[in-house]
This record gives sequence, structure tokens and C-alpha cells, in this order.
Amino acid sequence: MTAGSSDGAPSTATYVYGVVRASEAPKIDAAGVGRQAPVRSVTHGDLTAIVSDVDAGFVEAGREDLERHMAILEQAALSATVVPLRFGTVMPDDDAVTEDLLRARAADFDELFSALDGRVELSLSGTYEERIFGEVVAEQPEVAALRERVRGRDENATYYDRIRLGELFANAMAAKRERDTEQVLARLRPLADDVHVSDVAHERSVLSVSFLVHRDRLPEFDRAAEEVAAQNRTRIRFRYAGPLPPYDFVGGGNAGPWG
Amino acid sequence: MTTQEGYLQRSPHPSSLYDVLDLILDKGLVIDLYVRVSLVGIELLTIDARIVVASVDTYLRFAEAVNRLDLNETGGKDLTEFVSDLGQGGGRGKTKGALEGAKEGLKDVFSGGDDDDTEKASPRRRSGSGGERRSRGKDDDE
Repeated sequence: MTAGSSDGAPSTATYVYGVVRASEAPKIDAAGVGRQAPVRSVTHGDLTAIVSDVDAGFVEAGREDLERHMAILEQAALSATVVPLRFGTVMPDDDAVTEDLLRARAADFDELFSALDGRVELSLSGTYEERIFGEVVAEQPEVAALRERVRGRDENATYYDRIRLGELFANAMAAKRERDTEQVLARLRPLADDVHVSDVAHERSVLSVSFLVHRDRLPEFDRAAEEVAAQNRTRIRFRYAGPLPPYDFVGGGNAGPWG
Repeated sequence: MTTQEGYLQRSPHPSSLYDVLDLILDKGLVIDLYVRVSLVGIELLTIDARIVVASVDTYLRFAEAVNRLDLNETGGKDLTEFVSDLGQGGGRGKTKGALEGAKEGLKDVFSGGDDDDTEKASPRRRSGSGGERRSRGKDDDE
């Protein structure tokens, strides 16, 4: 851990993007985060870490860094199974990468790779179209009635009615969101090896889901996702990204194989 | 963009800053003691966009949105229209101020986390100009 860095410059540290199997290690032609040093690799045994040099004092990153981090991992994921590391992981030097990451965690990586091998992440999120509000009013007589009651009336006089109206509406939206999410998952879950449902970030959001899918099933999964989008085309706008490194399937947070 | 039927908005990678943050930030394997770099200078949309649903304020904004719906039309009436309609009708300064406030609120609530609502036609844009930039570092001391 106290060994000097490989290039001898004390002001240099090693930023780690992710880990791949050495046999799959991709050649990545890109500039890294921070000082934009070329992306390179550190290999130990059958594991390769994708890294680049950063200033030892590199502690604050900006949007470009985030995008570089993402782009480099995506490039790696094109041909290899990648275990992405948390954005911002800096180790003192290459020796630390070898010792503390690749050697010390070899068994854990083995386990992760056997779960992830040949698989990528697909991210699907949906947002309700504006017309969904009309759908709610049409489906909920009580909402419609309250709406009639408060429309065009004095704001103060209808204060509690408006709160009630908003609350009913919010509840109806939540129920709708749940139904729609179930419907989407029912179609897509069987094609995935793992699913990660995130809390939706926004009231008009329907869902935000990541799927871990084997490359062999990508065409089938794509078709199913198209199908779901087509079925809901007037109500929900879907966004679909991937194939991506399996950000959501490496144990994130403090959990995971070594949490 | 490259979808066969066009109902699915596809991209090889997340297409908005919001999606990037949502997808990547706080994801990925954590190596104990070694996460050091924090992200600064970026509006942390993922956090800011999370509106607490169960509040009177939100309910009132919802009510506002429901009220402005013109159910005879296919979609809702445009909000700006709605605001200016009312502005013409009852022209007290105070009311107008409140309505402007509501408008802001609605924009917040209903404009969506995705920032490409109105910019579908344009290619992927870079934020640069997007809103205020606060520096809010994250303490990655998990």
C-alpha cells in the first residue's frame, strides 16, 4: 500500500473505472477523468482493472468526468462483462489496485462474474403523457365531481376541496403507476435474469427499471420492450437505454458480496 | 432514435443529464475507503426532482392541474394559456402573483425529470446553460 506509483510521480493516483476478466480485457482508446490521461489497464491473475492516472489531489469531479466515466465503461461493456465501480473511486497507485482490489477481492469478483457473465443492463423508464390527467378524471367520479365543484370558484372558499381533489388525484396516479409498472414487468421480467426497480423520481414518472439481460436474449428483449411501448403509446413515453454495464447489479450501496 | 416502430425512444446510453445521474450516481461497486472524488458543479437533479407527494402543497398543485384540464379537448390546455386567461379575467396584482407562483410550481411538478419534453427534435443537448449551478459535493464516506 505504501509502494510508489508505477510511473514514479508522487502526485499521481489511480482512478479505477471497473474490472473485467483479463481474457476479455478490451482495448480502450479514451482519455480518462481528471487530467484526461489515457485509459490503461492493471492486470493481476485473471482480472484486469480499467484505470487511468489522475492527480493525487483529484477530489472534485464535474459533469465531463461523469460522462467520461460512463463512456469508458460503456466502451468496455461492448465486448466484455464489466463490473463497474462507483464513480469517483481513486486508489493511491497501481499497487493498491493490484493488492487491495484485484488480489484481495479475487474470490468476490469470481462470484460476481459468474452471475454477470455475458449479461448487460438495460434501462427502461417511462413518463406519463399529459393526457393521463384526463384519464384519471374520467376514471374517478369523485375527482370529476370535486373538479366541477371547485372550478371557477374562489380559491379560499375551495381550499379544502382543492386539497382533497389533489390528494385523490395523487392517490389515483399512484394506483395507476402501480398497475402500469406491474404490466410492464409482467412482460419483461421473464426475459431478464435480474430486475432492479428504482423509486420513481417524479410524479409523472411511471417507472424506472433496470434489467440484467443475457446478450443472447437482447433481440427478444428489444422486441418485448417495443411491444410494451406500442401498447401504451398514447399514454406513456418510454425511454430505453443500453446495453449498459450492470450498474444496478453489482451490489451498489454498502451491500454486495463484500458489504 | 433507431427504433423500428418508433414507440420506444432508444439510445445506446442515457440521453439526458438526469438519466446519467440517475443511472450512475451512487451505483457501482464500492471499494471500502477508496471512494474519494465527489461530484461538484452539477445540479443534483436526482435529489432535487424527488418531490414529496404527500403534502398539501403538492395536492394544491395537482388540483390546479386537474382544474386546468379541458376535458373536451384531447389533451390538457396549455398551462401558459391558462395562466394568461386568468390573468386577463381577474387582474389583481396579488392574484396574478399567486398564479405565477402556481405556474412555477406546476412547471416543477409536471415538466418531468426528462428534460427533452420540448426538445425531442433536437439532438442530445449538453446542459451548459441549464439553470442555476450549485456546487453541492457529495460526501462519499460510506
